[in-house]
Amino acid sequence: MTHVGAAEIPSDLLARLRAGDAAAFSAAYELHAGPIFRFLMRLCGRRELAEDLFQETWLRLARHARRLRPDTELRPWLYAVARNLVRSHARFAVADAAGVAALARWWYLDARGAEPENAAVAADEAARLERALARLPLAGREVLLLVAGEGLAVDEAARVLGVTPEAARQRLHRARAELAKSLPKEDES
Amino acid sequence: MTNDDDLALDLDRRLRALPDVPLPPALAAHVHARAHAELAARGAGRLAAFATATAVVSAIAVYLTWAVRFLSALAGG
Repeated sequence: MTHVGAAEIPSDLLARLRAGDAAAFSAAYELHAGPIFRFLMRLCGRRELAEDLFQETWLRLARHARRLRPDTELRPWLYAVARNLVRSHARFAVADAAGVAALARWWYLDARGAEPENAAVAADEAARLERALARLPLAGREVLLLVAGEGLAVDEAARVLGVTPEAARQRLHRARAELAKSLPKEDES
Repeated sequence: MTNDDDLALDLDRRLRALPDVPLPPALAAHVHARAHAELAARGAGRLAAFATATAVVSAIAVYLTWAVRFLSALAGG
């Protein structure tokens, strides 16, 4: 997975966004659209829903850009919006494990064109991990995806989740333990 | 390093190694265009709101000026 490093974010991006600068919006989109889509896909496990929530996330930025506080950190802000949208679709909190596995195959195979044997093996390995991830409670899945998947610092993830850094650390610890417990079962299947 | 730390590192490594999820180009273009339109509409809306507020303030000022003149004329007449 590729991550957005802080150095890649132009220092004046937020100020330009707050002024309603369309070029700044495009720059923010170029930097963060891919990671936000990836996060949503893994968090909700349903492609159509992820696509809808992805669109809503960016529409919210367009609506709120001029009202962002000067000290807003855009990356956590976007993840927080995306995460809250998933939360508001609580009925999808338990991702469909079979659907997630199918998505994993699509990411590896269909989206990459050819289907060489080694890609199929890698796809199975990825599918096992995706299934185990999808079976985690939403609270565990979101913190794991933010920190391990998206490369956010625990403090940033805590801001996204609206909890203290200590609470985020505890959630992360629990989520890792649950994932570690469920992975051998997936490896056997 | 404890076993827990090793386990955490290994899990994080496996999660990071998951394939990137490609953003479909058609979706990317569609959302970009819609969000841009929304951004532009919000900007236009703010300008319109400012213009409306300015027009209302000037109308009130014109009315007050006229009222003062009218009352002065009545008092003088």
